[in-house]
Amino acid sequence: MIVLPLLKGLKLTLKRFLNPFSIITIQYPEKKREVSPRWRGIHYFAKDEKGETKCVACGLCQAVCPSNVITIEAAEEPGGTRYPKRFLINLTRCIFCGFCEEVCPKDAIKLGRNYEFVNYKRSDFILNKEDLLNYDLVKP
Amino acid sequence: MTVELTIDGKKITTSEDKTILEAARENGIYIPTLCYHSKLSPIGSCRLCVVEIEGVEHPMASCTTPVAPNIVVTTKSEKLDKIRRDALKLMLVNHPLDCPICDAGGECDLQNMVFQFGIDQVEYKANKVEREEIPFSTPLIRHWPNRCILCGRCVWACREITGNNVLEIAEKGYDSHIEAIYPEKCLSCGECLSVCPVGALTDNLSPIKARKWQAKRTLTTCNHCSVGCQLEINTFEDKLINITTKESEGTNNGSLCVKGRFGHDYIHSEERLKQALIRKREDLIPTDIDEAISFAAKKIGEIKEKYGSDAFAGVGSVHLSNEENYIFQRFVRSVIGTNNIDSLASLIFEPLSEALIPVLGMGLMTNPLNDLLLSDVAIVIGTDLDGNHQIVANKLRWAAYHNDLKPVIVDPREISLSKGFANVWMRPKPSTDTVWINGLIREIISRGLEDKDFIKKHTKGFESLKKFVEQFTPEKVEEITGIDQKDLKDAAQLFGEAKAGAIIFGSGIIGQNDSVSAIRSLGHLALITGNLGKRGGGLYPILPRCNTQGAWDMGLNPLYFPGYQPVTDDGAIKRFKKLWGLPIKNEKGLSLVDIFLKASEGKIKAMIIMGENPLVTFPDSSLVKKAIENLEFLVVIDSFLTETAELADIVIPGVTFAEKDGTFTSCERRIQRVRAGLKPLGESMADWEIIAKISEMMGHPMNFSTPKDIFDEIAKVTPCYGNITYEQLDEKGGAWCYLGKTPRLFEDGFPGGKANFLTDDIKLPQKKENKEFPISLTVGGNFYNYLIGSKTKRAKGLALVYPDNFVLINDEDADKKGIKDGDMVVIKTENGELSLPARVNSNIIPGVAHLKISFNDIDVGKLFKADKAIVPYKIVNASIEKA
Ligand code: SF4
Ligand code: SF4
Ligand code: SF4
Ligand code: SF4
Ligand code: SF4
Ligand code: FES
Repeated sequence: MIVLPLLKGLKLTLKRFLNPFSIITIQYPEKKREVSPRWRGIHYFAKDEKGETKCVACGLCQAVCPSNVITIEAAEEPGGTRYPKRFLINLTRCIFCGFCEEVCPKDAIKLGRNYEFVNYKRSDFILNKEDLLNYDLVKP
Repeated sequence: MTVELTIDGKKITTSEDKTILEAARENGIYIPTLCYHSKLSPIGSCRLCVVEIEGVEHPMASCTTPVAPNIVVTTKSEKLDKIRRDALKLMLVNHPLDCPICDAGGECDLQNMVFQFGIDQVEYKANKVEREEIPFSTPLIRHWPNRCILCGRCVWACREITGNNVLEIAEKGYDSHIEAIYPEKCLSCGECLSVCPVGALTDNLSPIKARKWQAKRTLTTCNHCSVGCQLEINTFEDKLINITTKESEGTNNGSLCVKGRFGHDYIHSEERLKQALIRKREDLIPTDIDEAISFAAKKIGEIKEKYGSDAFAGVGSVHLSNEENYIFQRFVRSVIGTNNIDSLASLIFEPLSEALIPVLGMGLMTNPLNDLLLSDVAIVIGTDLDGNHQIVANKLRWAAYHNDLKPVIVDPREISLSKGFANVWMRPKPSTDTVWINGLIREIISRGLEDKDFIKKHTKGFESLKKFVEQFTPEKVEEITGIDQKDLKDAAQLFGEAKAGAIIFGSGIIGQNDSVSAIRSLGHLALITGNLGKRGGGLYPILPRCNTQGAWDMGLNPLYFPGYQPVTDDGAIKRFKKLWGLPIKNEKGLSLVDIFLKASEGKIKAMIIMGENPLVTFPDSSLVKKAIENLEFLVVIDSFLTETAELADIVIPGVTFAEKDGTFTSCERRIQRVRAGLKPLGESMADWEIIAKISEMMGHPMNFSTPKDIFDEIAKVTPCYGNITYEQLDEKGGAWCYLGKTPRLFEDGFPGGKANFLTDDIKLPQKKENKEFPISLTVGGNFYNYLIGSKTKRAKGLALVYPDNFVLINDEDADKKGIKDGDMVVIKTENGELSLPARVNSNIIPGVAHLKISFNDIDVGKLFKADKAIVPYKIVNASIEKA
């Protein structure tokens, strides 16, 4: 009674083992996996015509973020427009829920497709405004 | 009269002067509103508060409709909902989608309403009007015309609360917008900003912004004047961003003046001291704070050893907390062993005490400020309330509006309250106040308007007063003071008839020549009209800086321990000796003036000046300078390198009010909490910690680890602070320092049974022709601009709205000397001279000139001389010539 299901399982294992077309292990990092279109990776800022961030520092993403990852210091320019004087995302705590992207009224903060983010120091996981605009770094 | 009505099926009884909205709110029935504001009379512009009344065809605005007997009101229905939604949609037609960049976002009434009514689109189409951006009345507030929903609150607030009518809804229909029609009258108080339900008016001081959920709001007490307004400092990442208020807190009910709301940017000034400084030859070199403290301790110890305790003096501060002043006097009295300790508070309280204690038994503000709301006549003497204590002026305006208060303003200058607001405006020549006050008393008695019962029951010596004032006929008063006889008679009639008459006086009386006589006469005036121990009556000396009262209470004073216990009283000495564990001198010390006089003679060798800049704030800067030059050792504790600190041997960096905990006592004797919202800058420390450390280094640890510990000790040894715990101060938003059974003095009679009329010591002004110095120069605003800084402008926001200093001269006087508006003039007194621009007009009476003290780089103090305990710091004879 116990042996039969065991043998059934072994059959499947052997089939996968011997069939060369069903290899699913990817040789990372030489090869990379294509992620789903809905993938939520490292954040980046969308840019306006001048190459500046589209973010107006409204603070909604900070309010919505469930793990309290975002810090924003908003500043008003003499003309009345606003910009984030400082904008920090602490990736070590981020759960990549994407709420910030969803709430942003300016479509400014986005979760990109990049999932490769390796550093030697924890502090390097805190992205600032410049980092989020540096597409070479965040690789959207 | 009460009225019964039904709202939403609930039977309600309320008073007949209520509106339907107020009746509903009292009973917990919710009606949405946008334009209604509890501090303002109903506006009725938004139509959100509509309700249906049975038998009335159209829905009515509940905020403007008074209750009526037996009406049946419905507040919720399909129809009402539709009206409300339509009203909101019409507002949204032209409203920009600015929420992400709008200051109000997150606490915007419009946002909330739109959300509450679930409006997600507006089907109405209209031509988009772009309102043009026009400059607002003050640079400290930014106006966003497109966000304005024309609710009218700002217009109402400016009219009813600040009494200024600066704003107006200009034009009609589609073009209507808010416009500042009298920008020159704007006080920059920010009342309009605080009532705006949306983000149409925003704080324009700090470019850094933070949402409600980002900022930390710390409730604390204003550090400028002695009204003691409650406010919230909004901080974000250790930066103070702006200041808001809570309507439920404090005597200010959510209002502030320009200093309280916008006078905070000095906290983040580049010039703040971050490190201690120590003198090496000519220069002050930065050093480690602990090193500076231990050096100071060593040096003070040496000087005490060499010259004795009395070669030392301490100057405390009227804008540091009770805890700091307490610990400072404890240090000076016990560790050093001298009673040479004082502060600027004595310039105010010396004359007050000398004038009023013999008459009434106490020389303090007698009633809480909110009593003014119940007064029906108020005499305001020698203080520009709008300029210095706007919240008090607001109260008078409220009473004038709601209670028909009739103000009598006495000031030689034209001030905002004298125009349009005053029923009677008297313009006496300076230093003649004793004459007109006694003239007023005579007039009241001769009309038989004195309160005979009160006089009989509560006073002694009325007959002698009656005899004394006989000489002050209206004719004589006019001759000496220049006050029109009719004005004096009108004022007498008004004040004599008043049910509750208040007497408010400021430095114009307290700092003049013969101030004691004038103040005592005011005491008499309050007594004969029975206005003491009464709601709405009272004497209100207006104190300058935030803790003037507390400094005096805490025994920062050569005569008294905390709580007015004489330093010569054996019982008190024994108690304090036991508590502090060190011997205490039983003879009185030197007063502030004497400290400087003795120091200038080289008899004082060392001094600690804590949180004060006497070189600018003490009248007679030449004396202070000489005194400091003759010291062997001077320690200054301050958050800035002030003029005084520049002359010190050691400068230790203290903190501002936003960085420390403690308590302030306001002029109405309300003890209120100061709470830290920021961390101390650099190495700076709260002043109490510095004093405790010096004491510890001198071998006498004080064992206080928080201001609460100090307050507990204060409550133990200070009778009028007894029975108060630090926790209570937090719960109740401040506690009253009781001197009787209630915060109102004399409600249960006068100390010693009866009040006395004392006329023997009343001095009358001597008429002296002064050929050399014919002009009476008065100075004002002694303290209010203190934090702007004297050399550079630290409070940049305030500096924007306060013009640079000038001397105000009457046009006739100016003509004689050929001085024109804007000319540079030289002012000379016996003591010194200075030059500054003149402003020439008729806002001041001939023979008098006026300028501001402690302002930017103009050293007004050198025009004055201080050589006796009661210094006329407000007036001096001068000559003014064209430069
Ligand atoms: S990223 Fe978007 S949501 Fe976040 S502050 Fe900027 S504008 Fe607002
Ligand atoms: S006023 Fe209110 S609704 Fe209008 S933009 Fe500002 S936050 Fe949004
Ligand atoms: S700041 Fe004060 S005085 Fe000026 S417009 Fe506003 S409410 Fe009126
Ligand atoms: S500025 Fe603000 S308070 Fe004034 S009318 Fe417009 S919305 Fe109302
Ligand atoms: S009235 Fe006095 S206490 Fe109130 S805000 Fe102004 S300065 Fe501060
Ligand atoms: S609240 Fe009544 S009309 Fe606005």
